[in-house]
Amino acid sequence: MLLAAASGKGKSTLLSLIAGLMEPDAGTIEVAGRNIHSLSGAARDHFRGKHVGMIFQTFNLLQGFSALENVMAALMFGESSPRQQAERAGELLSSLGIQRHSAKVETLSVGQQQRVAVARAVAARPELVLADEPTASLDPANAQSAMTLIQDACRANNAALLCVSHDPAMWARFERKEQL
Amino acid sequence: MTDWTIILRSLQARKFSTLTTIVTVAVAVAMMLVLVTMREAGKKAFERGCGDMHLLVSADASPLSSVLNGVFYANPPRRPLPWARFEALKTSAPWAYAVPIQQGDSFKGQPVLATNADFFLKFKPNPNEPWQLADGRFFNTDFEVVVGADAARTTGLRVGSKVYLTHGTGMSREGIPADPEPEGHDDHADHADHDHDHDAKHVEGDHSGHVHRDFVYTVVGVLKPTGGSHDRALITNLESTWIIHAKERLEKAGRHEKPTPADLTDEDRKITGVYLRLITREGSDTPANLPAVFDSLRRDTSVTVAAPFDEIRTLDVIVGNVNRVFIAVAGAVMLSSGIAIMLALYNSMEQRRRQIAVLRVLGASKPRIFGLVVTESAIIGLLGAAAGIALGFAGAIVAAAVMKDKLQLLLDPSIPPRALVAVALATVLLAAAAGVVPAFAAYRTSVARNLRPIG
Repeated sequence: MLLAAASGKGKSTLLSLIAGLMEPDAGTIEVAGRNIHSLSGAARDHFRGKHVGMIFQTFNLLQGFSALENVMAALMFGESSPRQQAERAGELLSSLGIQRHSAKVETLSVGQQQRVAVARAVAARPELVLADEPTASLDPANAQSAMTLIQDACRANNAALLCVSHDPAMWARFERKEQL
Repeated sequence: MTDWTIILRSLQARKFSTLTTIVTVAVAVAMMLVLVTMREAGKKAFERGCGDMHLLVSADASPLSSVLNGVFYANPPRRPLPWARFEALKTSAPWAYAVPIQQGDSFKGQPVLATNADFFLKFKPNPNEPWQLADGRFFNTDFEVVVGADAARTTGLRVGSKVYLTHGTGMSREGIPADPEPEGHDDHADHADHDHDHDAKHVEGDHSGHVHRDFVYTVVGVLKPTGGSHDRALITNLESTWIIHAKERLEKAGRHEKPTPADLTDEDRKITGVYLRLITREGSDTPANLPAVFDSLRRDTSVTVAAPFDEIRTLDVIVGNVNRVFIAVAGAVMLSSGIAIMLALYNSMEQRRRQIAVLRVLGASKPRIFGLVVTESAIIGLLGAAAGIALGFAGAIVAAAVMKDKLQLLLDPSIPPRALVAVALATVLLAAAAGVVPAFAAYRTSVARNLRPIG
């Protein structure tokens, strides 16, 4: 699903509400059949780590960590052992065309960093992936290929994708679109 | 990927800050350990030096100076006791031993103790630990000398070495050892200045003594270490010392022959102290009659009677106040190092807010983030404590060497395990506490605000 709105209309705020990072003033938000705001503290954080993946415009990768560690980080707050984390992260990175798993993320190209960010978002096999302007800083050609990557990854991992974008070029790629 | 990976990466990312903070903690820990070690070692060194004696009688001005001079060789005692006083003293109570001592001579800055055979046979340098020889034998005739373990190491003397002893401390007015020449061995006697405090006409140049070559001593034994003050002494018999004094007396009278024991008079037969131990019951070290004997001896105002262990306790109280100030200063330095950790981590929080926000998005709870920062702080404390312990070991060795050089006090520089554990634990706890403020800042990090694109 694509959510479109002009700047300042609250797209990012809505994503933060869905992820349980902000408290709603009224109403309820259900994620994977669960009212995320009925959970408190660590339980909500755990729920988010397990059921919600997030992709950001500037990737927000952990600087100083390798590509593999960045993806493993999405699994470390769950029940996976470090070995299981490494196996899953390695598979994902390879499937997304990243060969230098141990390279520090800051040494990777922008395109490779985006792939790492996508791998991290789907690593925990979440039901929902939230993408906040994931192509805003890319040129039109790269934006299309990046979105293809995100959609393919979500499809491959059976995750619903809620993408916030004000780029009209992305509209055609989504079956469902909403305007704020 | 574990919490440790995150902590280590965080420390690596701020290498300079981490290292300087660890160094700050290490210096504080080392200071604290050196002070604690020197305090403990000083106390033990004083306790060891007294051996198993109950009382010390001398003509010194006070009981404390009597112990410092008579046991720890702080200064050569100036006021002697006549031999007749010793003869009277040794029958005045049921003594296990009464060992006469005479001090005032030295060799290359090492003190010389003149005594009799009972010093080795009856006086024990440590309770229940008799003297042991590393080499040779105890003296059994005149002009033989037995060398303490530390004195042997310092001077290089060994069994068979020939030495001239020095009257006084053998130090110039500037505190430089008066003997400028290396010792010889075998047939060559070692040269030492004859520093005569009471005989200023022997002073040559800046030195307060001259080489006195009339009497050659032979080293016949080297003692095993006892950990006490006698380790740095050369021990010889009283008669040899009296003969040297008799020679000076005869020279003043215009006679230049070498005196023999037959020439000794009461003027020569002087001592500077008596080590005394009362007979005790088996299994007990404190005889019931000690207070009564102590009071009885004190009635004679011509002598000073000291109970060495009481004097050591007095000294400990005096020095203890100064120690408390030092330890308070070291504590303040440790507190400062804790503040340094807090500031280093708190300042790093600004750069780490995005990382923290990402970790929160990935499922890290607030308490876990709090724990990560506190653990990181504690690790800095632990690394600082480890470096501080290493630095403390080196510092204690240096401090012990300085104490020996300046105060002639033999200290064991090994750090008590209890102090190691206590200081390390306190440092880690302090560091963890210092991490609470930055951890709270991390805890309160707004995820939504810190995930926004930069610029």
